[in-house]
Amino acid sequence: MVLELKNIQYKYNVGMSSEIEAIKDVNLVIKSGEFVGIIGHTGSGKSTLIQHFNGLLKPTGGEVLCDGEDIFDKKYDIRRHRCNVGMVFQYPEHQLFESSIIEDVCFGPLNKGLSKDDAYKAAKKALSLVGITEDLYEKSPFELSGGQKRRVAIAGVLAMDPEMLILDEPTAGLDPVGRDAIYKLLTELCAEKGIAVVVVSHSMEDMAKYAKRLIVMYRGTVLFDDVPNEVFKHRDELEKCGLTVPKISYIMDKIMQAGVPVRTDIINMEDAKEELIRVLTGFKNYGK
Amino acid sequence: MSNITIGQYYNVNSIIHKLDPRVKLFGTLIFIVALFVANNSVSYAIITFSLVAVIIASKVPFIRLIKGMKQILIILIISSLCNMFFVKSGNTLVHFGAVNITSGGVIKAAYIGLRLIYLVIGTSVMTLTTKPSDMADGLEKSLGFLKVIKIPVHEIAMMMSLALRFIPTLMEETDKIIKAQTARGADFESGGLIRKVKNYIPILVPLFVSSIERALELATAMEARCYRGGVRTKFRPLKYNKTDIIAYGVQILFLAGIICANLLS
Amino acid sequence: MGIVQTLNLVYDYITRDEYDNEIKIRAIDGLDIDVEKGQFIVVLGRNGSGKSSFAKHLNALLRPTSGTVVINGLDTSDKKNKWSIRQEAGMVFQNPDNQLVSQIVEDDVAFGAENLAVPTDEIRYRVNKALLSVNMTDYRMRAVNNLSGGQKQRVAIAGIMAMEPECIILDEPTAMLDPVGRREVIESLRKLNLEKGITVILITHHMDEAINADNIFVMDKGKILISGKPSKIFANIELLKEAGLEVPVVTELAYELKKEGIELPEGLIYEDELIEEVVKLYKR
Repeated sequence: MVLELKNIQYKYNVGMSSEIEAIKDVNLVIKSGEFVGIIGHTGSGKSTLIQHFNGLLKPTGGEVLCDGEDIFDKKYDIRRHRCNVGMVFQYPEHQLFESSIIEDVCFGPLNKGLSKDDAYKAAKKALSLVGITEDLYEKSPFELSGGQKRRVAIAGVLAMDPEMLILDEPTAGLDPVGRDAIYKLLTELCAEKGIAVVVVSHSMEDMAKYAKRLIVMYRGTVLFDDVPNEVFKHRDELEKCGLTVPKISYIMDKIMQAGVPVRTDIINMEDAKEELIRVLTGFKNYGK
Repeated sequence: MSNITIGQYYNVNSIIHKLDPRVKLFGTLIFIVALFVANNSVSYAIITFSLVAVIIASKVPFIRLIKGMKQILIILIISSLCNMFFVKSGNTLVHFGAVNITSGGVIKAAYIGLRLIYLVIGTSVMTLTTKPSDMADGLEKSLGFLKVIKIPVHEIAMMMSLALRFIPTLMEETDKIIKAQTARGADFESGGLIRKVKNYIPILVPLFVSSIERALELATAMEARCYRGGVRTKFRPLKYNKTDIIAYGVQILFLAGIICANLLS
Repeated sequence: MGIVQTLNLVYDYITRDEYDNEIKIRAIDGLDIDVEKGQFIVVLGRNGSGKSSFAKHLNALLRPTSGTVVINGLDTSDKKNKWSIRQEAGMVFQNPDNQLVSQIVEDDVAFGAENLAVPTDEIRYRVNKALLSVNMTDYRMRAVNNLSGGQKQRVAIAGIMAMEPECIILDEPTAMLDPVGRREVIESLRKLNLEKGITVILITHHMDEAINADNIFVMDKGKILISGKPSKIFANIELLKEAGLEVPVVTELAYELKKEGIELPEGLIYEDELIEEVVKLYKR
């Protein structure tokens, strides 16, 4: 699947004095199997942008193409497209409504037009992917812990068997254990099933660790679109946009400034460790 | 959706805006009484003159005032027509089969119509010039005497202002839930009436659950901030100043004028 | 005796299973904590570790099943102390939207002081002071709904400050905020602690908010797993990971390097310390 955004522009409150141009001329192509991170200061337009991917918002200019077809074309089945491009909003547990977990997860597949049996099978598969065991199926979603609720909500989207998954801050409010579980799941979905994963996040550390491609939004435009290593080299520009680089990069930078010749384009713990070992012990002990 | 204004408060600075909400509540009450006792052209003239004077002083554009009229247009027409057809007094103007329209009927219909229009405009002046939160304060203070008969006036006013505080939050929430369910392939348009009502369950249940959660959290937060009902002071106590006293005087004069005018006929 | 003290605090809550049988769940299991006036305390723990139940005890929103909680000499199990305790130990909650009661910022800040029946002139003075202390004076007439999360939390803190407490307890105040909001809130708290001597008890699972604390308590399964100065806490990396927590970046890097045989001292938590040590090693 190839999703293409062509010259997208989006204005809120068109024609009113409060008209705001939230997205200005954005061009993007996202393909199956990609793991894309989107970062940006609050109000940079990233939440507005992702709502175009599955047609929840209709751009006021430009077009959204899925495998070459305009998703807003009258003949195009946009509800089908929405099942294909799954969207997980911030705090998705707030959308749970059924009396049992399994029924809630069936909601999407049933809307997609699956038979009851098939929907149940799809739901079961999705729940096992997110690690919800069978003994919980008949429980009310409101009895679960915060982290479990979140995973059930994600299963509700996965059960529609999407080819692309978009998540708006999927780990907000979770503790480190809950967060790691979510990212592990996303990485697996991307690597094993070839699902394109798009994550909006405020955590530079998480993005450096998991994203293979990083998009930086600033005032409604794409400022950078590259591999995280390259994006985080633009430290000054990122800081001007109210963003930062991973803490480890700052530390490496300070070590370099203190007179130790380390590389400063490092964005994760592993590389930082290797680099420091290399510099402090010389090549001979490297990898010991 | 977040910049939505609650009620229809029109934000300008006028002498009417600055009046104590209790004065405006009392004035509205007097105005309504006057409308219902007025029975001749002199009293209507006084009412018209006073209303126009207040509107000019309030700096609210006339167009905003008649906006509220749309909703009552049908009631207005029906009640006027009823009076026109069924009141029989004075000379017959039109006689056509069973229909008999008299001059008395037309005059009566005109008065009723005018009364309704004035009623809407008069109360709109109140809501356009008073912030909802001030209105709640004003009601709490002026209806305070009801506490004697165990009506929880303070609590009702508190509920009113909390509702106002949370309307925008819940609107945003609703918007979000609708989007989330749409993304799960929900369909809100198709089907018959029952089907359509059913379609809204995925929105109503989460909204209901989150409202209750919010309410519980808010109650805990209020308790943690020592809220325990009526025993409290006010950051912005309602205080009468000179203008308010004068306004009360004008209102009494107005009512006296109407009564005198009524006695004339 | 400190301003906040708990002695063998135990708290059970009761829930029902699917057959409607009562099940007792122990949220807090024998907690002994002593906080001195003016300290900046951080309580760490994963979700479900009992840290929120603990916070609610300090504000008399919950009462101990057994054991005692004493706030500034007042026992929370004595009902008549309830309001004095809530005035002495103000509380800020996680969701910024669900704790503000008024539409306008300054009205909200005044709410607690109004409830304490403070005279009107005094409220005005306190509101001004409180808004200034969290750097929100410019927003005093703004609508609460149009503020960012960080601003809302600062309004909530100001609302507590206007009640003139000795101590302020915050139950995951930054969990729902973006990095900018988090920084604003933590900076405000640090300022209140340093400049006004307010005792701060911050409950969080963000490690980087803990590195400047005077004292840290790590909770797990209703108990204190470990407590002490940050340098002591963060030297126990394995224990923290076991409790479902992570460690600050500096500490983790130092730990990883040590594992590979680089000679670094225990419990490095500040950037400057680490850099200094690395430079020393390099020059050798």
